[in-house]
Amino acid sequence: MGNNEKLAIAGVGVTDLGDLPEESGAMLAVKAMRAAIADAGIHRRDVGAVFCQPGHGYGPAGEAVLRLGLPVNLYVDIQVGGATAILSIVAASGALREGAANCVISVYATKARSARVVVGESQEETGNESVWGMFSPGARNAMRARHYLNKHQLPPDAFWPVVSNQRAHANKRPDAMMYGHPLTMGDYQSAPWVAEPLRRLDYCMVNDGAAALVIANESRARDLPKPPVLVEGIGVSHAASHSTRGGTDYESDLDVFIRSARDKAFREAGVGLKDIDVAELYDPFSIYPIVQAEAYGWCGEGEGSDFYASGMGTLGGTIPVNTHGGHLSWGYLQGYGPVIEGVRQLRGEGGDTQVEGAQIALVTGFGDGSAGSPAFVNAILSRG
Amino acid sequence: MVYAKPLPQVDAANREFWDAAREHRFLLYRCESCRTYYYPVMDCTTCDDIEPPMRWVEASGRANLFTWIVMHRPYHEGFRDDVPYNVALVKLDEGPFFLTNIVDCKERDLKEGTPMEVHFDDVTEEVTLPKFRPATR
Repeated sequence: MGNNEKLAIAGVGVTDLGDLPEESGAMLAVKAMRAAIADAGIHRRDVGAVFCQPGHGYGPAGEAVLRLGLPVNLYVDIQVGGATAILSIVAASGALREGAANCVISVYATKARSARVVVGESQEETGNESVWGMFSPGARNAMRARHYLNKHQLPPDAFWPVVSNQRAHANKRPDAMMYGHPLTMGDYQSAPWVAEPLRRLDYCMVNDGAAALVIANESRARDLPKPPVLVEGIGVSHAASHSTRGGTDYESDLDVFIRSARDKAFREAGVGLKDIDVAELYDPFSIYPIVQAEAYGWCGEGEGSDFYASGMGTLGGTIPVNTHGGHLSWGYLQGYGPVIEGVRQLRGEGGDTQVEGAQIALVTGFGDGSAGSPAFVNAILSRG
Repeated sequence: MVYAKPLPQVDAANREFWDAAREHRFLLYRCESCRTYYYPVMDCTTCDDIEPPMRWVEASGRANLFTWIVMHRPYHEGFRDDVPYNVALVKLDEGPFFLTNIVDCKERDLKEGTPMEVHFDDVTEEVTLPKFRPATR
């Protein structure tokens, strides 16, 4: 990444997740940043740069930065949807190299729940696709899901094993929104369709909340109380570079650009699939962990559903996936959720879903800033 | 009855397409240099020309069903009485994908790969939406 030193994630912070009408977006951002600063064991005056991803129903974090009294040289809003958290680490690398900061905060806050945000319901958001009644990211991914089911001749319940796997993890994690809410296959089958073949339970949580990361160079991170989590490699791949037709996301095969991003990250980190101890995979919809398990190579094409159904995606299986419950059951903080859980696993802070002795984690993200070409991003993290 | 669904946003880039649709003609954007078809409007990605010779040409209006969904939630007021309704992605014989609705076919009879043909739906006096139906010939 052009930095002589490795980057480290020195601290993470998360607020309560849920329906929080009394909390402003700025206050949630403040709480997440405070928590991350405390977790890293730094002083707020150490924070020289802030990258903020505005979430649904919440604008830039400028007010939160002022309120916390962060003496920043650099403040930038950054929006690449669910790819933002990992791409903010790339951006932080630049700020650290340029000497703008010795610690960088990346923060995300959302008021999607209490602001009753419905993504993609207007013609402004969806453009001329709306004339045919095409609305929402869920609908776009349902197109992909239907094609997947047809291609591999699978029944509509093929996504249930992912939902079940992650709900089981969430039920061992008191920090998950769905802790204490077990699910049966009957519950799943009776959940309403939203955009068929996706049911309500195939969708991520909709919640208020905020998350923050403290990013520093390795040498700085090694002086801090907690073991640093090192960024060994990052890979990015855009749909447009794999399509001759503009890369509208549900037309393009996700697996092609997942593998491209995977190869870049694995090469930079010098690791292979067998080295990875735990995977925190971006999961706005239940089909994503299936497609990723196949594209990374933990199972064959069309075998993702069986992979999770046979317990290969949990503790003791081939690769424990989304150990906190993921966006489907832990809470939705765009791409920050996977990064934060990856860090916690490598520090041994995974509670009842801790992967014993985890040394290497894969974390992923996927998204775009506006309608257009989405990016798939992934990072290899290690326990330093 | 007032048509309450969104209408296409017509601009300089797509006006020819929507004008032709009103006349029940289905156009695609084509590179005159390599004859590759595009939809929606974009510059040719296979030619190195910085301004490839793109123009709208008459297309076959024939396609295969690639994937589809059934929308059960009315995100937009105009579709409240329509749910559940289908939205489909067809792969045109000329190559590009086209988002549309399938008509003259029950949802349960939709099948990937089914040959489709364009069907023009005059939704208002000024606007015609190209939709698709199972091919009749």
